[in-house]
Amino acid sequence: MSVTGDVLLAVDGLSKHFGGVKAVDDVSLEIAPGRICSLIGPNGSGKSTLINVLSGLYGATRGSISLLGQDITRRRPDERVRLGLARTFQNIRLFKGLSVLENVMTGQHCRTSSGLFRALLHPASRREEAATRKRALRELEFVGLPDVAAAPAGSLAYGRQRLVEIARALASDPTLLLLDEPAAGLNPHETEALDRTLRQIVGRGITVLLVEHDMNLVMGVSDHITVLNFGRKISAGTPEQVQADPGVIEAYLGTGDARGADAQR
Amino acid sequence: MSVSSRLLERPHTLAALLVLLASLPFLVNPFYLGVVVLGVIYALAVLGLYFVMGLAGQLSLAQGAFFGVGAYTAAILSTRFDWPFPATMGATVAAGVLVGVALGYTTLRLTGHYLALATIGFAVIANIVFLHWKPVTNGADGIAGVKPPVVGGFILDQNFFYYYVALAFLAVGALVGWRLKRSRIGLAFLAIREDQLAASTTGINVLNVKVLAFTLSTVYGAVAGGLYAHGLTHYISPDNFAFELSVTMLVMLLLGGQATVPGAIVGAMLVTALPEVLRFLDRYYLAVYGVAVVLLVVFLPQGLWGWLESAVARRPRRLEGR
Repeated sequence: MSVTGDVLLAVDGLSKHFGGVKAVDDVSLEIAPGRICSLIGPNGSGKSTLINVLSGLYGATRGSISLLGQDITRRRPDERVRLGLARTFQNIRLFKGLSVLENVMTGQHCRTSSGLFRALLHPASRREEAATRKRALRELEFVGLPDVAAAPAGSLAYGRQRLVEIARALASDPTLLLLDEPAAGLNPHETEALDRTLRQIVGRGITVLLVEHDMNLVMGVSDHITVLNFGRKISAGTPEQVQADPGVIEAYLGTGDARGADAQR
Repeated sequence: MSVSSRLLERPHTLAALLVLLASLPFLVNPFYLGVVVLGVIYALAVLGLYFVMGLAGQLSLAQGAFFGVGAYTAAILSTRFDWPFPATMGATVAAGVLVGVALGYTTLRLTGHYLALATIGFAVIANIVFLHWKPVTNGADGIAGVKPPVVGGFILDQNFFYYYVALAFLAVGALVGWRLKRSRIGLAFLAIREDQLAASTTGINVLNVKVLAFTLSTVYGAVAGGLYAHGLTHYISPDNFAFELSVTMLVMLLLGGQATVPGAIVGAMLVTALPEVLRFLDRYYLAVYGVAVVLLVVFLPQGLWGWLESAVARRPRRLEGR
């Protein structure tokens, strides 16, 4: 690995076993700040499991995760968000009954502090709420959805729901953003917009870890790619290096996955 | 559809409801004044359920037991230790916090129906304790002679005056509930109701926030119980806090509308008055009541207030159509 300078996220010997199934098996990787790193691999290679372990939804069976030098292996998901690690879901998980704006506002929860008594007695809580609202509107504008703030989140089209989820994650001021297949179900036009949004996110100084099947997007946008197969890391490097790696080509062709052809090209 | 923009949830709607409640003793037959007092007291307990179930989406089935804990706390302190009304009411708050935090942190760690099961268990155990811990609770005989509040030498033991004592508590409780829904904490409650897992990966400490919602419910329940002990007949016994009361309070919330303050109040008042209104049904009352509840849940899943709300929201469109 050619990581120089400081490391934002360091994953060391990470494993997640479900009974006898080694969904993630002894994976190590490092992510340098300010880049777009991608995680690819055939279906069932452990990408989503790895994201779930990184974000704290699954406990690690073995190994460690550290964010900015701090060990977060045993931290709760919400603690990881507070430390700067935000995520989105492959199958979108918005608060469907709440408005789009309210969804994004929840992202600010860990950056604000009004508790029960302050909300009841102190005017500062109102100012904080106004600031949260403003911030949420800004994030909606950032992802290109300034006009749907009042709509129920569940009423939006699929592609727009994905953007709301990204806005919600951004509202938590992340240093590292984990995006689990953000292009799934998007049309080519929306994918192009996503490509631009990703670059703008990095432009804000936020590092992105992208799990994605859309190889055009991955190869175009990534600075660094890690390839998983059967839970193990089989390759890592720049898009060019990964595409030329015979092991990667074999992994994709071996599965007979139609998308594998993209990786080969 | 933004929570704060709903027509019937504006502050003046709540204010209008409170004014209506304040004039209620002048509007009803004095014979039914006791029922109205009871309705206001129950409404405060049901407002507690509004936090934990309406906002945070956690099914709690022991509101009647928390009501009982508050009632016994107030009754024992008032009759044995001569504590005045403000002190016993303070003690009910403490009792509510104690029960909420202890039960919350042990049962809310797990997702799923554990809270529902644990609260059923608590409701049953609490009633057994009320019934059999005779040295403290006086068993089946109950506790009589709970002292009414005294303001400036004036004893508020008549329903007419006690109504306003209870209403003051309800008004404060309603304002807290109304304000909290629009706060950072209220939004976290709603997020947990919608999707706990997503709430945690959005940065919300799900356990703490759930315990907070639950503790609000136990405190409201216990305070309402204290009001119950000090008013009406000044007498409590284990029958007053049987498991059915917890179920009835749940029905009150569902009928009124889970996630709104006015809904919780209206639901509690209506269900409290129902036995009086349907008295002519005599022994068929329970059957009719049961059918009515089923019909309401099926046809008005958002409760009366939710139904009223959508009716109001539809009206402008209808006018445009003309």
